[in-house]
Amino acid sequence: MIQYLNFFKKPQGAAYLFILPACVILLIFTVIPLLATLVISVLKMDIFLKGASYSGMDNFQKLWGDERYWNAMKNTFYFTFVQMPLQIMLALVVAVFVSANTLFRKILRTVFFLPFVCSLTAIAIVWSFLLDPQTGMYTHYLDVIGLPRLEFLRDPQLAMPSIIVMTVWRNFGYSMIILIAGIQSIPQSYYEAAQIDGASKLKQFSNITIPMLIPALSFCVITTTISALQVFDQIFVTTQGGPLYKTETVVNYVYNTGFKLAPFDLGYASAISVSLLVVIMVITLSMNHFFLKKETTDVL
Amino acid sequence: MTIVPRKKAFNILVYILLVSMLFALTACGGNNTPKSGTDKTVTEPKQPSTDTPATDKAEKTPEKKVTVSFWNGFTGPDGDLLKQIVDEYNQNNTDNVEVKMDIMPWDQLFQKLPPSIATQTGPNLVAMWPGAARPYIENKTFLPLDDFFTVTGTDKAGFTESSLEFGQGRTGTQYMLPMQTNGIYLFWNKKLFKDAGLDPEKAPATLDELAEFAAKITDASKNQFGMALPVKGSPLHFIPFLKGNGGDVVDTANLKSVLNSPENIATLTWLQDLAKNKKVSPGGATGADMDKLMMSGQLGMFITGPWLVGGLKANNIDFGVSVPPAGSKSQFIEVDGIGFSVPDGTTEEQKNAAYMFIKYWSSEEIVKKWSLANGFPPFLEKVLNDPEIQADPIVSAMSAMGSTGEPFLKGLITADRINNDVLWPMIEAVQAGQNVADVVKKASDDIDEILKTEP
Repeated sequence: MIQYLNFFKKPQGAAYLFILPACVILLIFTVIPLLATLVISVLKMDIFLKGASYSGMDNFQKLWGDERYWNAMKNTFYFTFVQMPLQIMLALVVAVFVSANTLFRKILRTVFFLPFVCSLTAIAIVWSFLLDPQTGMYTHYLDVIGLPRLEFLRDPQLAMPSIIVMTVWRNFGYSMIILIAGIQSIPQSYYEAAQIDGASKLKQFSNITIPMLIPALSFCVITTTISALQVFDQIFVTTQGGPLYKTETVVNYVYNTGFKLAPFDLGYASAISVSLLVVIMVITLSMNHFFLKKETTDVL
Repeated sequence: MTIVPRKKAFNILVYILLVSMLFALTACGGNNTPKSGTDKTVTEPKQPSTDTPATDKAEKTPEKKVTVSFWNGFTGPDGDLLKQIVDEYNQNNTDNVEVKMDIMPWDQLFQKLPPSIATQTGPNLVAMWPGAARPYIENKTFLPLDDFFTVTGTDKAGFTESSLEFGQGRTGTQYMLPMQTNGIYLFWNKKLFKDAGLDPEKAPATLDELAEFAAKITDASKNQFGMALPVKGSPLHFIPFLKGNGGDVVDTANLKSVLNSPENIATLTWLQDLAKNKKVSPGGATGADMDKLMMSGQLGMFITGPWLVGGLKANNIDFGVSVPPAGSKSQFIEVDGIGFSVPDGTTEEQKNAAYMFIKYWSSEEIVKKWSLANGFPPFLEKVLNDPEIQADPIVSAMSAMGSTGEPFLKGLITADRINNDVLWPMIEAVQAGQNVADVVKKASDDIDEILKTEP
């Protein structure tokens, strides 16, 4: 007993005690639900937990022929691979501009970061008011300048782009902060040497800033991609997956299948979740491999 | 006194802190609230109230007060009246029953209810519409309530037939008791009618008149629309059109879709013209958007339920209400409502206590009060003929449904799914300009797929 207690007195032993609370939370709210989802995905089960039975791969087979599932997956990919590059590019451009430590630029950093600290649900509600074709402020100003009142969230062609713009506006501040930290860690001597060699600002940016930012960029790209693939809140609040299922993403479909409408098929909803998990894992590992390779190549 | 070395004392402090954090975490997840509906407190019996009906064949009044937890979604102005009625019952009843009401938005109620029933922490009484109740009825999560009339001595014949019908399963078992009933009516803005040169006292009687009036009222320059054609979040406004023109959606006897018919395609083509070409309605708008437009005086006509009445009166809109226009073959009025149900997990004592409250709710005084305040037609025959009810132009107009009122997709447990997954997307596609025949065929096939899951 004393031996064990002595172990916890050493720094490496004490470390385990310090991370124990976080591990317990992770276990209860992430690991156990994940394992439960994997189990439920092979069951035929509804939300009332009555009469659950083993169904093997039936739920996964159902996915292949489900048009609505593939539509949701397509919408999810559309959202992710438009929103993520837009957000990163905007964050990078703004980060370069506000990375200098002047008072004005520090204030700008705060202003750009502010939307990120607001609740996504609250932001989505406000944006749905602003974009309302009858009563919205943005549509009113379109009318004032002689343009037609666009039905942003009701037009099948404009609904997803509107949600993408809202999400980029809300999230780019977070990526910007990470990239600013990365930019500020680049030694000035590199830029000075490049200036002496006659490199333009653009050349300095592409040959010094970008390569040195690979670790920060990879973090931003991967985390933004994971978050975008799981998009739910803003779609639930604004369009509920409409119009004509043009904004229904995989997580929205999971919610609608398992929790919103009869027969509250938790088994099938869990199977959809598992398929999304696999997609996210594959994309994340691929991106990780790509950026690791890039980092190593640039170092060499 | 033994002096503890400083480093050892610090280590002991750290261990105590960590252990207490662990205990705090495990304590956080506990649910310390008592199981709903099981609170029993002993109180002195109240004085008899004149509000409850005279005849009473109820079981012997329980010695201890029985608490009934009641969930519903009346978050609007009618919720205030509901709270008042429940408070009055709690203060004055001699049944030794206390109703603890929990009002929440409907979507929150539907999210909370299934897991709460599954974990035996659900309410003892819940109010919802029949379409939403079907899955619970099907998997026996809602208890049969046929014994309500014998237990409480309430006269079943005093209820309107349609009010009991909507709460029955396909075999006729009573799973819901009426809380309120309503039809789906045509509301029109008299001022907009007058401004468009129409008779403000005369609602359109046929679908052709409806289209004509809607086109006359629509004025894009004023952001004014003739007719509400929502794409979700509202009663299905197009069902009177389909059925009135001789079409239908589901053959409930044979559990087969009959949506794909020439009559329905013709009706929906007419509707598409109204939406896409004549632009009588804002595109892609929901029921809530239409409510706002109607209450701000920018909408000429809206086929919806009586819940609009309070908002129209509050916004001083001069409006009329009538049955929806007739089609070429008949006139159809959808009857709907909200009923009381008792979920599984409720004890016999709590169920009987819930019956006492429902009996109070179904008294002539309360039915009349609810009807006059909210504009819903009463579900008791005697109250229908009450002079005060007859004198109210809105309520009496709504009560005059005659034999044309009937529930839509009666008895189907997949009714809500058919409405939300098929019919609303279908109407959205039609109003967006897609090929009507293709859309109807796909919708019909989808309905058949869903109907295969009917037991």
